[in-house]
Amino acid sequence: MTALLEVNDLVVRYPSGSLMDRLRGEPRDVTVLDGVSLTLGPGETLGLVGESGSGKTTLGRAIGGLTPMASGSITLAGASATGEKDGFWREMRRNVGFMFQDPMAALDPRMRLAASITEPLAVNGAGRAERRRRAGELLAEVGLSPDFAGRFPHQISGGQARRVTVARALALRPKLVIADEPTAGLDLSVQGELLNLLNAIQAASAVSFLFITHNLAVARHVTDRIAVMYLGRIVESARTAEIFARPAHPYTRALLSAHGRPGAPPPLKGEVPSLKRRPRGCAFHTRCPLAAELCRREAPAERILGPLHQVRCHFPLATAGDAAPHAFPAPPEPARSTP
Amino acid sequence: MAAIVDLRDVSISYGNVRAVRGITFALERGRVLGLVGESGSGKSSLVSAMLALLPKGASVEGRIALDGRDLYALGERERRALRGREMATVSQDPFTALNPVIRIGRQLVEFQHRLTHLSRGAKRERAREMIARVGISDPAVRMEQYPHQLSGGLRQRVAIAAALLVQPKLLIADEPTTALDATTEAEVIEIIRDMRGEVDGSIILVTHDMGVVGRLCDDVAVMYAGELVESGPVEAVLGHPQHPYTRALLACDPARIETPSRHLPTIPGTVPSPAALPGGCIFSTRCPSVQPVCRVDKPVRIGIGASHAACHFAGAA
Repeated sequence: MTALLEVNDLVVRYPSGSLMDRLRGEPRDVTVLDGVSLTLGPGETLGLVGESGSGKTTLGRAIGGLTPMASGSITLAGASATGEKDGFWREMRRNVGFMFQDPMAALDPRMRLAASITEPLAVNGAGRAERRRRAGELLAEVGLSPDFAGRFPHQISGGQARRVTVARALALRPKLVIADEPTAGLDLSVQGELLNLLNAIQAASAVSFLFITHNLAVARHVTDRIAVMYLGRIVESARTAEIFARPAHPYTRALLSAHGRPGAPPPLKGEVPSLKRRPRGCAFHTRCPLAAELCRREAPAERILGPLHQVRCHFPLATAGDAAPHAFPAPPEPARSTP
Repeated sequence: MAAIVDLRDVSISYGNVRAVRGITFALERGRVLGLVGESGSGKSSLVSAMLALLPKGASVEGRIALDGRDLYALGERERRALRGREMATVSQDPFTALNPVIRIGRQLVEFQHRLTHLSRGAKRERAREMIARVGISDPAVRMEQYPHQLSGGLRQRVAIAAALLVQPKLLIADEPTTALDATTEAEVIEIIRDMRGEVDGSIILVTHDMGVVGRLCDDVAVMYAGELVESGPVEAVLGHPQHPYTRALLACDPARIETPSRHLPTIPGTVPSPAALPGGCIFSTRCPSVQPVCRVDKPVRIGIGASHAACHFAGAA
């Protein structure tokens, strides 16, 4: 299978701090994404989970070229981008649809919905008649009646606004849709309707989804694979069923237990460390119930635990109930190759 | 047992539209009630009415009593005093609840302005203790910080601390975990549970998350289209729901669906507008087990075991 999307060793930095901070010796920028690699196949849904500040949204934006990358590469449908300025992005953005976090903020309050939905077409040179025709088609695709075309954002409900953002994301018939918290704040039955709609669209068009969420209960149902992010790195990724059945990273297990999984360790204590002061060694060691001397000293390399299952932990699959992590049978030699 | 909150046949109208109709329930001291319902169910209106914070133009019928006093028989000055002293709220977004340009410590002192018998120094000391009690490290440092310097979870804890400082008889938490991510949400839930003892009264938790209700509440009240359709102890209502709406709501919760599925259950149709309600049962337009009688006769709430449900066929299933 050729991957639709391949992200290799992506690094994103944001400038930070005032002049005063810099004079005091604070770093000039923060590394928000620190060497992220992932692949996504056609028609596949990858869930990106993690706490606020883990870099999920930044990764989504970087893949769509909305946030410049410091290094690394992104390949979509065979075309690659390696730098910040690249003619690649224009072509790239035709293939990527975005559903932003807050649908009301993502829709211009003074634009009729038809104009919002078809703005991507206008950018790509479509005429008025074509835009009007496509607006009707897209509204029908997301289950809204044609009279929504003339309405303004304040005249529709939150669930309907989500559907409108789906319609806009699909306007250019993208190969990849990046959905950032697509169901946050929706009522349960409306959430179900929206997820069923996304699923139907995928079944009909083989579009791939990058599904950014902190709702693991939702991710369990709608994703094929899950990548767990912590402080700008992917710490574990595996098939969805595998993540839930055999979480290997202590952070993954903590996230799952926060979702009320019975028999799991208690939720994490403490705050996510600041990106400006990323802990040495394994970035998770400050909150990890299993942290050992090695974790404070050395960052764990990626290990392959099985087909499509990768983890960055010195003691994968150890549990907090065990006496000491080093009492475990020696883990297999860390594999460094990526599939 | 004395009820902290006692609602008798409460209706709320905005102009000619009766958005909330005929709500009757009582909440005993020390209990935590989960008020559940989808957007448009009237739960926010009901909570605003309990705080006497409805917008101008809204009118309340029926009786809302807080610890035996009829809220709407009091003058506005007395009601304001109640709000600062006996009722407190934790809102959905802790960032808008806190003033961005005032240090945390000073805000927590100001929250206590109804506690006139305490000196400023005593209020500061209470604030510092409360910050430590809600699990925030370095309370002395936090007191000097501004809201933007705290993470979402910490801000929500400061908001909880602020609400608890006035030792309210009724604490209303409106979707306190909606804006937080899973691990922070779990922490805040734990803190609310630990802090139950601090509230010399009752807590009402407004939410649409059944998981939160199960973990935090003693009682649950389910609202639909402005009416109370089912209420009772959490084990009874979540374990043996009697109203088809409660059952549908539980069925929609992805966390309750054992086998992963790409097709999630939904409730077909939409909540009826309060200006155009169906005849008979309000849920009849969307109910999967609707019968002819449901479209004609409005069901009254009847007791089944420990819970109450407004359905013609409650107890039959």
